[in-house]
Amino acid sequence: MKASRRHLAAAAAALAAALTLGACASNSVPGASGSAAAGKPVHGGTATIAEEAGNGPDYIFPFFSIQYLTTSNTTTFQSLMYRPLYWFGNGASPAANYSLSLASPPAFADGNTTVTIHLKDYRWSDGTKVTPRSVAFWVGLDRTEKQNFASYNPGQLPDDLKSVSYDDQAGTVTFHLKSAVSPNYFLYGELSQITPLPLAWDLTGPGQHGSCSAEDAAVQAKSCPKVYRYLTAQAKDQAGYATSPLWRVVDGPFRLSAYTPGGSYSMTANKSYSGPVKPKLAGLKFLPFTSDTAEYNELRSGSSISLGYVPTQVLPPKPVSQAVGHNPVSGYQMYPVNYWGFQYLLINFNNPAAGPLLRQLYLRQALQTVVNQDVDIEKADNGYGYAGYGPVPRLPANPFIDAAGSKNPYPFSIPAARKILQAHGWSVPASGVAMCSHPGSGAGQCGAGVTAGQQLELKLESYSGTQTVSEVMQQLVSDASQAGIGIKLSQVPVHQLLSDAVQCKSSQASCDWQILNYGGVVYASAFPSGQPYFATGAGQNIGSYSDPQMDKLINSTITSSAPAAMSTYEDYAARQVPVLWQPFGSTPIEEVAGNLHGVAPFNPLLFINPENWYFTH
Amino acid sequence: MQRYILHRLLQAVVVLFLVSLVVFVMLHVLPGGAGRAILGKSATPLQVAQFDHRMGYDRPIPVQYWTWLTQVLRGDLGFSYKLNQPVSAVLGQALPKTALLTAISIAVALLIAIPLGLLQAVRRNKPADHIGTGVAFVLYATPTFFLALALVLIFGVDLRLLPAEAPQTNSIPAILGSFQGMILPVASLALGMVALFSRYLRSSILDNLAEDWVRTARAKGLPPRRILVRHVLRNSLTSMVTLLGLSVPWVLAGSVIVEQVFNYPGMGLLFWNEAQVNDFPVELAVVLVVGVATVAGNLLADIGYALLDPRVRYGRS
Repeated sequence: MKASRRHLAAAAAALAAALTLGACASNSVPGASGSAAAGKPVHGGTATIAEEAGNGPDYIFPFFSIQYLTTSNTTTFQSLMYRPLYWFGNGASPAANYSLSLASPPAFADGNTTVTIHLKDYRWSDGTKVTPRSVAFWVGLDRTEKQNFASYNPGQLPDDLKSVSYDDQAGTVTFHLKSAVSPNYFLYGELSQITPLPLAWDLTGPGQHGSCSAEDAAVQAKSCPKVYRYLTAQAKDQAGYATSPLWRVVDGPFRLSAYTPGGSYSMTANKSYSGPVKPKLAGLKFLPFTSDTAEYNELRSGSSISLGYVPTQVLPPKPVSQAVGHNPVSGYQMYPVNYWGFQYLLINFNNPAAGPLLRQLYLRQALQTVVNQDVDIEKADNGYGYAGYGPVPRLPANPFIDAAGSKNPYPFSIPAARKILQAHGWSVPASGVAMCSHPGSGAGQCGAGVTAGQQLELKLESYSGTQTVSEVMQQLVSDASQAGIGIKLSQVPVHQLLSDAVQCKSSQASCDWQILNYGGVVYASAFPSGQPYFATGAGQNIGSYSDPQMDKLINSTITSSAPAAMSTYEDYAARQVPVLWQPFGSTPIEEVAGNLHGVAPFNPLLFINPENWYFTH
Repeated sequence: MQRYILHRLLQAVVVLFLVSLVVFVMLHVLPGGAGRAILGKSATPLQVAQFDHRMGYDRPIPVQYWTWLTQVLRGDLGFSYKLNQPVSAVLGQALPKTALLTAISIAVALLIAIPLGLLQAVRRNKPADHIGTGVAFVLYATPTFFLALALVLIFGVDLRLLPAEAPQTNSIPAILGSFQGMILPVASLALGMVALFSRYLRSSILDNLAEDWVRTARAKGLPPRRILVRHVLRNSLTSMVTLLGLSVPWVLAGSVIVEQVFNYPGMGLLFWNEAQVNDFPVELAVVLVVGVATVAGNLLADIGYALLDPRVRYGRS
């Protein structure tokens, strides 16, 4: 799904591969990039980075609305210039990285209702310090413009704030919360949203100072909307990004030196960067690409790309025993990256026809049992992927996954799926669709709302244009049919699928969809919260899943400091199958030039740290 | 001629109005709303509803169309919230690039096709004609995406004689300055056209060569070269002019693939990408530009036809 703009490219890339596989190839050199650098490190140089096809940055202001929530805007473009309060990504783990954060670890007190953060000695490039007012500026915007902030979720920041106090002398900010929170949740899910802003941006017009950075909520309430309007207007002037005095004030390791609307931009090292790791490179150059094919061809034609990628479709299949297979691009090292998210098929619990079926847990278990994740990984990702059994990713290694979450509660088995159905009142023929022969809601019966003689037929909608996705869906249809589950597959353009995927009531015409291949999500923060996806009535709970026990467990992950809260939730979610869990493909595969070091391991949240990078002779 | 051009321009305005109306309605009744497509799947239903309301997408289609039309008549093509730019700025980046690619491709195709068609007609049913016909059929039957990829793989990846991507700049002088990068994209578009143009020209020349006036010219003792170049070719080119005018939208459509393969973001790719996310302001603007190009192409073809053939007198009964 990530590849909404990449369908054509994928087909073309597959053709390119068919034409040339084997013609140009080299051995990959798996391992950590540059951690054991061969050659003499050099200071300076410009690393050229290939952007994801069709996904260049287009918004510079780090307080942005939902349409600008793209990986290119947040994880590379903005975060290299404007550092978030807390940095997430420690090696290949999504865990908090306090060394790179602007503040020390938060201190929780008063039964986890008070959170104090202490700012480190960071400076903006105009010489001023990053102070509590920089945080107050963000909090002020969040309080007055929360509906315009992409990561806003009702109940979270700023709704859960009773008050915020600032101590400029001590360099601390204290959040007083309305109720107790889980420290992990508050750090990973809420503090992660904050990006301190420079006071130089506190303007309501050219040369007109605002008071949004005032440490007084009443003053902020008057000023922040005007400041927000001015800054968003400035952010619409893409041609001025590299020259505007506003955006030149940075606290990150790089600053923008050139920008062309459409995604091409360059950065130079911020010589006054006050973080712990100073950039070794002189600059960075980001190249936009129209398609994966174009990027791949450029990579293979001996280009100057230092960091690029290869679509998995063009790679030769990876042996199961190896972490990395054969690299078709010479002079580069290949790195699969495990993103921090999960992949799933949406289930519509309110569909008038299929809802009564899909609300039966045993039926969802049977459906999950016919998902052949191993074959899917082999087909769709040429072996570069991993099976997903629940809401918490098994990879990369992380502090949230438990032992049970690493095991598949419903391993692929067509006989097991048939047995589940038979045990619940269905007659499953040797071939053909199962029929409910024991209606009712008792033990061994089909369940409430399922009628006698009802056939087990479901509709699955997937997005068109990607051959591998199509194959995976066909595989599911085929396997399900052997278990007596009839699935009618339709494939539609991505934007139609997106518009079909709406929360609905049974009586609404928009409730026609039953199961949707919705792709996956990369978690917005390092905290794998189930709240947006599985809590009753939550914004992204598109299938209208509702289970009081799930709500309770999700709430525990948010409010309880007990380490078991997350384990209990993830195990329950895995077994309840609120969505059909799918494998997560590690696409694309990163390619790092042989003379560039310090790049790997890759951050699973997609942030990059080019201040660590250096070239060797 | 002036009256004819004025008449055609008025017709063009009507055509463009109808095209914009039809496209506007089709875009808005197609499944898939703009809000969800632009904001992405992370957006909550509330955010989508708020966006649609702010953009006016929840108003009746006639009202939306009227708003859009009055904006366009004032010279305002709208703002793309997907690209965070005014539509005019987006077109300003993409249109010159596609226009340049298209113009060079057509020019190159003509430079090759005219002598080739002439040669094939003169050497009819001889080896040169057979070879030309064979090559033309192969090129014409080759899909643009396949040809483009094959050229990249051979000349860009394997031989490394030419860049695998087009020049990476929005500046037309800079693109022309690094013309090496344009060779493969132009070849990908032009080779298919060479086949088309040369086949048409060959047939047209053969038709003309069989005319009585050619026999008369020969009988009067005109040199064969003069008959061929000055009379037969000139007459035959009239059909080419019409074909050229009609091929403008076809070339623009073909540029989608070429722009994608050669990393050359122009109009074709812009339309393709924005169509994926229902970016209505950009889609409508592109349709408008392509409509203008098509109408202008046909108008120029008709004028060229009149210039080439003095017997044609437009605007007179």
